[in-house]
Amino acid sequence: MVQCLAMMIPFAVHTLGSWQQPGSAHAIIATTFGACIVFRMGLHFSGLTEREARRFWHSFVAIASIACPCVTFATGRVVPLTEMDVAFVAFGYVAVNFGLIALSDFPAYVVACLVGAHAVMIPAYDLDDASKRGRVAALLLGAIAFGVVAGNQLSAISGLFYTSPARSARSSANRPIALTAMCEELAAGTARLVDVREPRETAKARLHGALLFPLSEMTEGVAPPMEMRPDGTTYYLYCAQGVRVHPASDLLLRQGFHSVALPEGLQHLLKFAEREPARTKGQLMLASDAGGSLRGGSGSDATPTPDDSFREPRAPSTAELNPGLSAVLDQAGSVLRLTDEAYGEYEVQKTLGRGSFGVVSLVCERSSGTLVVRKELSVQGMRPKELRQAATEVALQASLRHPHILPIIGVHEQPGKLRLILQYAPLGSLEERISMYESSGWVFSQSEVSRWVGQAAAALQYMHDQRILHRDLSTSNLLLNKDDDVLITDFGLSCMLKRANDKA
Amino acid sequence: MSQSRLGDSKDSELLRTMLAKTMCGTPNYMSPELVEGKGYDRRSDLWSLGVVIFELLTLRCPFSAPSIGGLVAVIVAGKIDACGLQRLEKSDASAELKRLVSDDGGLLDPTPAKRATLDDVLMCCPYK
Repeated sequence: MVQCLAMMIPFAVHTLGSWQQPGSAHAIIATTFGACIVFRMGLHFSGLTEREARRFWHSFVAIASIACPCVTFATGRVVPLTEMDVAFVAFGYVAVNFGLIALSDFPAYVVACLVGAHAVMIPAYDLDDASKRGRVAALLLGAIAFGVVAGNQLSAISGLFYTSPARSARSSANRPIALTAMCEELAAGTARLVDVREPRETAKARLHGALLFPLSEMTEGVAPPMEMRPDGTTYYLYCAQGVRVHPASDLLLRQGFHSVALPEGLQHLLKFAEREPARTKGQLMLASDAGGSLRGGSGSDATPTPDDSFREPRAPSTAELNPGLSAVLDQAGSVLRLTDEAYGEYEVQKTLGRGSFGVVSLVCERSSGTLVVRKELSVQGMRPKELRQAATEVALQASLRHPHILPIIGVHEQPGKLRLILQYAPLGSLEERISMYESSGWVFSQSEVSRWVGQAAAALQYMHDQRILHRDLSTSNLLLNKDDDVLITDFGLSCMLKRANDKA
Repeated sequence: MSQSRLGDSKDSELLRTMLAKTMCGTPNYMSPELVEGKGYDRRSDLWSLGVVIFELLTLRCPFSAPSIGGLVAVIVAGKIDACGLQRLEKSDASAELKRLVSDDGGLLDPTPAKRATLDDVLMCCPYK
């Protein structure tokens, strides 16, 4: 719509011109602009998505800008100009070319067609004083050049003109970003995050005179030179995958900066970290640690797959370490029993939480550096019945294989202690995410909600098909993995439905 | 046979666990039939899912009360928090999603038989 309004101006000017000077090229130009307005309106109401519409629109503009001068020259029409008009036209050329480069989102080929069309039209100007034609042509060419150069300069520093994602992605390949360093900066409050999807925020940051830079799939995390950050703040501009990013990043990338692929969940975390650095510092560190393979921005997989070397199940023990518990675990073939050596491979990094059941800690597998979670259940003094229940939980969860159910990697048993090695969900639980959003005044997008709900429902359906109820579904039991996908966990109360009794 | 979905001993054991959970302060996801001690089946999981969806849409628990007793009463009565409902009304979630968490034929329907099913959920939010 803005484009339609913008085109109304030249349309009106040229319509007036063709009214005053019938038979001139004004009529052709006015018709072109009129057709463009109609076409743009048509696209707007055609029901096409914004992206499809833009593709049609860009090619239409390119064709129209070539066709207009062609028709003008073919019909031999001219644009009668007085000397007063020349100044007006020159000013118009500066403004139009400046705007095309700096403010519009036209791709390079369309801009080239439009700039070319302006230059080509110059010979069609019929000046009343023929002796000054050369000088007028030079003036107008100068105006175009000035507009182009000034537009380029502004676009390079303002970020209003976007380069294509593919180009940025190529130019930013293989530059690992120091995500941890960025998290530290955010936690220390010396950096800010700006979402390019929020124009107001972008504008605000621009007012600070800061050079913004993006952080996303084609995301360039770039540290601008100090003098470009008057207040000493680092600005991290980030956006969702597929959003056009900033051309200035190209400039800065050439200075050896980095790129990273950020999952949406991490973006949320980062965004939140900006407002509440103290609360998220630990989480950010963990998320960035877990995202070790984010480095390089390539699509390498970060799923914590434990090394095969310790995947040798222990032979079922004859002597029961914990009566009741061992028996159930031995019966459940799906549970991977870790040997003492294999278990020794894990090194505790940090305590994540304590509950009535025991301690949950973040552990690291020494050889591969994979982060996993260890849940330690104290079974000391538990009655055999309770032990059986605990073992059932483990056996149940281990028997479930679904992309949205938190997998048990292995189990280690010691007298009085049962330790579960679980996959690590670096992005926390939905409960944390909700409180994060609540305190920041954000809301979840419809697509986010339905994605999560769909995943949770699929996992639930799988469980129900296996005749297993969860019994304790809550936001704190829905975790988010590094891709921001839901993982159902904590089957503390789940129990197998008795086949015979199952009616539902 | 279907009457004894869960044996008496198991039922009371469950209630004890529930009570323990209640003391921990997360009874918000318990379905009315569970609160009333009528036993648990897959539709109770769906109720919990409904509470989760409601929270995602409004960032508020659908059922809240100052005391546990009050909470139980609110859940049994199926009285969704007015502020939460207001937020749900205002949110730009689709009408289907809003219907999915309604207390009439949605996931938060206090009558298990009338409650929406997993198929309804997956129809509304297809798994990708």
